[in-house]
Parts: sequence; C-alpha cells; structure tokens
Amino acid sequence: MRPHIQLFAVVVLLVAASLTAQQRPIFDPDDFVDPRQHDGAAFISRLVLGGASGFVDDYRPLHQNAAVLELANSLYVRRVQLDYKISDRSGKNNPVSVCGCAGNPIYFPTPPSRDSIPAAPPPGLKETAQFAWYHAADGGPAEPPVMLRYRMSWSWQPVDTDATSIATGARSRLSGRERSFGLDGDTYFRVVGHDVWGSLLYARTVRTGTADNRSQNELAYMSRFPGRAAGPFLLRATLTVGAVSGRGASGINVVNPAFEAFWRSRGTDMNVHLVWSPLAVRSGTEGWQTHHQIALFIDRALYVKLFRPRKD
Amino acid sequence: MFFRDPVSLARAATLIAIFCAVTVHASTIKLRIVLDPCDRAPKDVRVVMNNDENEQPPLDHDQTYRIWTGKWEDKREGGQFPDVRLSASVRLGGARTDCEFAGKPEKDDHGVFIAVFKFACDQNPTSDVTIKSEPFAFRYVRFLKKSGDKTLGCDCTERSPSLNGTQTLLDTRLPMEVLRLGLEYSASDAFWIQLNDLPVIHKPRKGIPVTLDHDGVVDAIVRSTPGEGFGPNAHDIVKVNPQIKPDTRVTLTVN
Repeated sequence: MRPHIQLFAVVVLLVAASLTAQQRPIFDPDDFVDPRQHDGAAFISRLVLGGASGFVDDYRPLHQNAAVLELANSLYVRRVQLDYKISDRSGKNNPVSVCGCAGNPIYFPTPPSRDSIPAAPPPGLKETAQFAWYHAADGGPAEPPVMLRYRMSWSWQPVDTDATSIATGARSRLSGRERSFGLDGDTYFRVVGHDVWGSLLYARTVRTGTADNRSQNELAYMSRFPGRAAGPFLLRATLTVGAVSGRGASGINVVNPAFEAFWRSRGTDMNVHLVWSPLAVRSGTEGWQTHHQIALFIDRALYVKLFRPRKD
Repeated sequence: MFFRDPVSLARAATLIAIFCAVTVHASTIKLRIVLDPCDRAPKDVRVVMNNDENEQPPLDHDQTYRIWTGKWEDKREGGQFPDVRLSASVRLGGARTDCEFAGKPEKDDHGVFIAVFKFACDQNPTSDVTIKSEPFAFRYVRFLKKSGDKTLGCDCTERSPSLNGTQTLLDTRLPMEVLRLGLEYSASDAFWIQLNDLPVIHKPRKGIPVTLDHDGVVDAIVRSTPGEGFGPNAHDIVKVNPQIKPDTRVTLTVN
C-alpha cells in the first residue's frame, strides 16, 4: 500500500473514531478464526441464547438482569472478516416522568450526574457491524506465525423513552439512539520466554435524543491468559484495565477480570458458557464500586458453509 | 567445436557452476561427542545434527562409552562447519541432552575438521512417544529451551521430514519439551496440533494408546491455534473443512 493511502486510511479511522463506539458484550462468543484454518471463504451464522445477572453494557451497569438473544453472521474471506450481529436484550424498561420546569424538561428519576457512572441504555435491539483483518506476526520458537486480528466495530441501538408529564399526565416519546465506534487490535509479545496475548481497545459511545444524553471514550488493554482444559471444560481468563471518560474520574478507572468456563457438547454441537465478570469502576462521586456480572448462555452454529478456494 | 556454440558454452558454464556449488555445499566432517560421566554410561546413543531429525549419523564408542565418534556430511546451504556454527543434541535412551554448539574446531591428520560436542550429564527422565497418523502424512517439531547459562548451549527446534504411518519420538523430555504435530494436507501446508496440551501427553498412562478421532483432531487443532484459542466459529469451520477427512485418526502412545 502506498504511503499516502496508508495515511489516508489512518486519518479516516481517526476521524471516524472521533465522531462516533464499545466493549465486547459478555455473551458475544469468540469469533476469531485463523485464516489458515480455511482455504476458501467461510460463512457462519450463530445463535446465542442466555441471560446475565447484573448485566453491564460498556462498563455501565444496567442494575438489573437481562435475557439475551443474538444472531451473529460472519463471513471470512482470506484475511478479512465481516460480521453483522443483531441482539435483543430484554429486561425492565423503567418508566420516566418529566417536568417542564422553567422551560427545560427535567426527567425523573434523575439521570446520574456527569461525575457518576452513566446508566446503561435500556434493554432493546442492538445491531453491530464489524470489519476485521488478520495479520501474521512472528511466533515463539518452534511456533508457526501467530495471527493477530484488527477490528473496527460500529453499533447502533434505538433508545425510545416514554415520558409521562407530571403536570398533565400526558405521554410523549423520545426517539433517541446510541451509536458507538470501536477499534481493537490484538497484541502479542514475549516476556522472559512467556507469551503475552492481549488486545488494545478503543471505543467512543454517544447517546443522543434521550432523557440521559451521554458520551464516553474508552481506552483499555485486555490481557488474555492461556486457556486450560479441566476435564470436559475449557477455562480461560482475561483481565481488562482501562480508562473511560465521562464519569468524573481521570486515569485508570476500570478493572475488569473475567473467567469463562466453556463446554462443547459433541452430540449437539452446542457450546455452553458460564462467565463471571466482576467489574470495578471508579467515578468522581462514588469512588470505586464493584459490580458482579454472571452470564450463562448457549450458542450453536445454525449454518456453516465453506466455499471452494479460488484457483489462482 | 563444443564451445563455439554459445548455447553449449552457456550449458558448460552452468554445469561448472552447479559442480562448484555442489562441491561447496557438501563437506564431510568428523564428530566427537564427549559425554560427562553419569550414574550409567549409555550403551546406545543417537545424535541429531543441526536440528534435523533426519540427520542422525551412526556413531562408534570407545571402551568407556563416554566418547562417541562418527562422520557427518554438512550440506547446509548457508555454509559449512566451521564457518557456520553447528549444533547437535543426543538421545541417550532414557534421557536426552539439550542442544549445544560444537566447540573450537579441531583437525585430524588429514586436515578433516572435527566438530567436538561436550554434553553434561542429564538425569531428567524421558519418554518415547509413538505417533500413528491416518490418512495424513505428518511431520513434527520438538522444541526444548536452552537450560542454564552454558556458553555453547542453544534452544533446540528439531524438525522431522514428512513421515507416514507410525513413528516413535525417542527420549522426549516431557513436559518441558514441546511437541508439535503437523498433519499435512498438502506438500507445503499442515494443520498443527500442540501435543503437550493433550491429556495423553501431560498426564500419560504409559503404554496405553489414545486415539483422536475426527472430532478429537478438530478439537486439538482449534485448541492449538496460538492466541485466541478455541473460538466456537473456528471449531465449526475446521469441523467442516474437507481437508480433514472423516476417517482422520491420530493415535498417541507414551512409553
């Protein structure tokens, strides 16, 4: 690629990042596929069904449990991956009252202050499109080259709010949305002979047209520890440390380990996941808080197609 | 005349160049392997030259079984001993050595270079791993990290040629030694399995063969992918990959 095209691509990415946002949802199964594992293009459609207690959306606790249904479609062509995912999160939609006090609408319950952790958007439909490409890097001794993935994600979610006027009892609807743009890049290096795997994540999330308009930038590093087999279960752990803006606390304000036990049923090709993800977050008003998110979900491929490789 | 024809002249030049190249790219050297005294002297040793499992020249021993000698044809493309350093490791039957570079080169009475390797006593127990692969041809890599701060010590990355059927890897120092198995679906490409991750290797039941069927091989391939590891999409896509035939079987026995 010519230098000016590379520069243009970087500028486009930065501009896009500054305009628009994301943390990988807890129920989103790992969709990494090493390009060396398929010669031709591959398409896979996957259904995810489950629930999470203490659901957290982009480091913002929902303060309730949520059930989740997701359909994830991924197309792998050589070193490129394209995804379209649609998820429906069901939960309680808390009623909102509005007071037209002094010409400015004031909503009740009062949204969290600017120095607090923002509320997660209410449960609903969310769509995500992703573009990723894979890059081979030198592995350790005796290892084949390691494959690293770099990905851009766009998400959007309509956020409709039914507000009841305190004065008149009249109902009105706010048709808002939340959009997010995210970049994540895998990292790999060796420290004292040990492999260190991780991802560097950046995301910007903007919520507009709602009773609680907020935006946040996220910059985080997620370390992925090697998976281990324990009988029929595969265990793996991650640790995310990062800084999220828009909550009155600068510097590191997110520490999020996650532990996953994963079991694949050979007979049904279903995967059962149990994830515990304690989240420690810091805000200007509340200081450090810990939220425990536990998710149990199953996923299964609905359709898998390998296309014949093109003969060059 | 032969050389009046420019095409013939070019052919002759090419033949001379090839002859010179062949002359330069192969030289026979002598080997002297000195083993530090251990509790027992090995009666049969095998040396693996230059990280190539296919390069195991025969050796003769002295009366003490401490000094083993042989000859090896150095065909390395990048240059020969002593211009280019030469490494080796030794299988001792129940033990193995790390890899080490040859020390200062010596010459015999006829001016032939002698590569001298001195290996310290190594008492770490080893196992023999027998691999049977159907219908894939396979290859393997044995990786053993340099231990200690030996001046001439080096990492081992010993690779086999393409193999068929059944093969026994002698004297593997498990679990420190990393074994990778490549199932060849074409002359140049292979699906790789990290054998150390399999229970049969890290919790061996000696002499009892364990067979991975198609699903087991798929599992092992996906788990052996460096980094992300065992994503469900990867698993489902590898499973339908026609290159991994339904009758794929890999049998492993640790002794």
